[in-house]
Amino acid sequence: MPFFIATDSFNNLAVTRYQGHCFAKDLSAEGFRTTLITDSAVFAMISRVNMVVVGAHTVMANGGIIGPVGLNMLALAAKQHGVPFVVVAATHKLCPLYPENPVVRLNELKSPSDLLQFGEFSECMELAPDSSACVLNVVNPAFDYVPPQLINLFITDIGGHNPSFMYRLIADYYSADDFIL
Amino acid sequence: MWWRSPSFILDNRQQQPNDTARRDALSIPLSSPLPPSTTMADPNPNPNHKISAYYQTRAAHHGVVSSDWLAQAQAAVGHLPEGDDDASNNDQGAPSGKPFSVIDEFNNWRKQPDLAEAVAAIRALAAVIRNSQATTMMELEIELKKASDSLKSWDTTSISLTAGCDLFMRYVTRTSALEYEDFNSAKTRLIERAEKFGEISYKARKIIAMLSQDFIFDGCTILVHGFSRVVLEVLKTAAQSKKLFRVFCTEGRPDRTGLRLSNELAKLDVPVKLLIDSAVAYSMDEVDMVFVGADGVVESGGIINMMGTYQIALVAHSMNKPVYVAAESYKFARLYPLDQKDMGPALRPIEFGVPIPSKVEVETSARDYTPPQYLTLLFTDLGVLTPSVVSDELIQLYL
Repeated sequence: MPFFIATDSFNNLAVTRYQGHCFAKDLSAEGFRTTLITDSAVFAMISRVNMVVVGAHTVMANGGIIGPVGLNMLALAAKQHGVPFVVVAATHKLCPLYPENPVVRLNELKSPSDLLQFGEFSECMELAPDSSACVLNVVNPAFDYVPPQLINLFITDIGGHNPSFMYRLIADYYSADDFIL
Repeated sequence: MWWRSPSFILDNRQQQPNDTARRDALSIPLSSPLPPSTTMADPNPNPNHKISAYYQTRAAHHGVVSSDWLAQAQAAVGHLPEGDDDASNNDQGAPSGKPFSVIDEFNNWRKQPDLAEAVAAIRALAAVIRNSQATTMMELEIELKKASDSLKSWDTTSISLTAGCDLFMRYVTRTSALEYEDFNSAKTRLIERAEKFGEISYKARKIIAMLSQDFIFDGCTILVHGFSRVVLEVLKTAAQSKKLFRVFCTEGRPDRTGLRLSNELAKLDVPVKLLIDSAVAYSMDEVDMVFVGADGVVESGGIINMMGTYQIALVAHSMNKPVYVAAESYKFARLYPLDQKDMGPALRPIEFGVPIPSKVEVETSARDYTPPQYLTLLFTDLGVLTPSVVSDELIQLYL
């Protein structure tokens, strides 16, 4: 009977945080023994884990993935402890671009209100009387890039592959003319 | 990788007679007339096949004036009028007294410094088809094969030459035109394909430059090693599209490629900094990406390039900097080196400026092999490829 550990801010794009909580609830509703931890506790708990399974927002041409923020940390922890990192992604997530392309690297920044309430933020504004710019900067990136070296296996709707094979699927599904629109 | 010949004394003994012959040749003072070993019969200016003519040429085209270069220039000047005569004879028409020599045609094309050696070979082979007197397809193919073999044997150390000839043969003969009953139309079709291949190879640089523009962002620092005309084209295109970037050039001993490259970049108003080869690790933290060309791309996805590339790739990899390679597709070769010494030797005499005692050995190899795990991406005219894709593309090209 597998044990599941779900992390706190495991989230899909559109919705607010606490998705990890919802996921943990769904899993326990199915009857799985679930443990909920925060993102910061990943390194502490990774040694108790046999396998990491995640989804992805996109799969890049070099086999890397763009996923919710915090995924890179999880991948690094898994690599450090020799835990297999498995990405579950269907072929409609394939993207013919490379992550070094600056268009891709521009991370979407979500509203900082997720982190800091506007009321508390306005208190910080008063702390710097002279300048019009606030001394406190709140950044809430939506995505993380995980390089292909940290990924062990991709499970797609047409089978399991390793990251260096993903370019083949892209060549199969995309015509070369459509790589750059 | 750990193999060392236990009988290195034997190896030395074998090398010594060659070395002494070579040293005699090099010690001929500059004021003397053409070295007697160069004749029309052997167009390779250096009859000692251990010294790579390929690298000699590159040095001649791109290096700062050195005594070797001067000696070579003298030899070349000695050849030039005869070379021109051959060309004009051939142009005048088929019935010329001299038989068509593919090597001469190749040498004519090769003299232009902007033309890659493989492209010169491709053009020479296209000329073979044009000037061929064959009346059947078999005969033509045999002629082509002979011409290709003689080109390849002219310099066995040049990978792009061998690969270019092989790919030309496959591209040109892989057509249904060979099934035509009419020999002349089939021949015309072959000539068309040959010219097209020549055009593709010639334009490859522009395609690569276009593909790599996305990867150069404003404010980046690029480290460049060796004088690659493809990389120069990439940087030229980026400078012309008003991107702001700066370049670190390694000095590139012994060919001093860095000096020539920094010259070219200064003309484009690109901020350039010259580093000695040993200063690469020191400056690597300021660098955003490494850009190199390639003499050959091998089946594993690694590259063979000027000596020092492997070192730089190792340093870049250890500091997580991407290493980009710009190589045309005709450089893809059917080779799989297992370690640095697994390739044919390509030696390039190094002059230190001071006399070296004869007991001291010098490592004169001109190139090294960079394994694929240290490379990030390859920019080719077939597209942007990761090193693992290279073997796939090779299969498609060759089979």
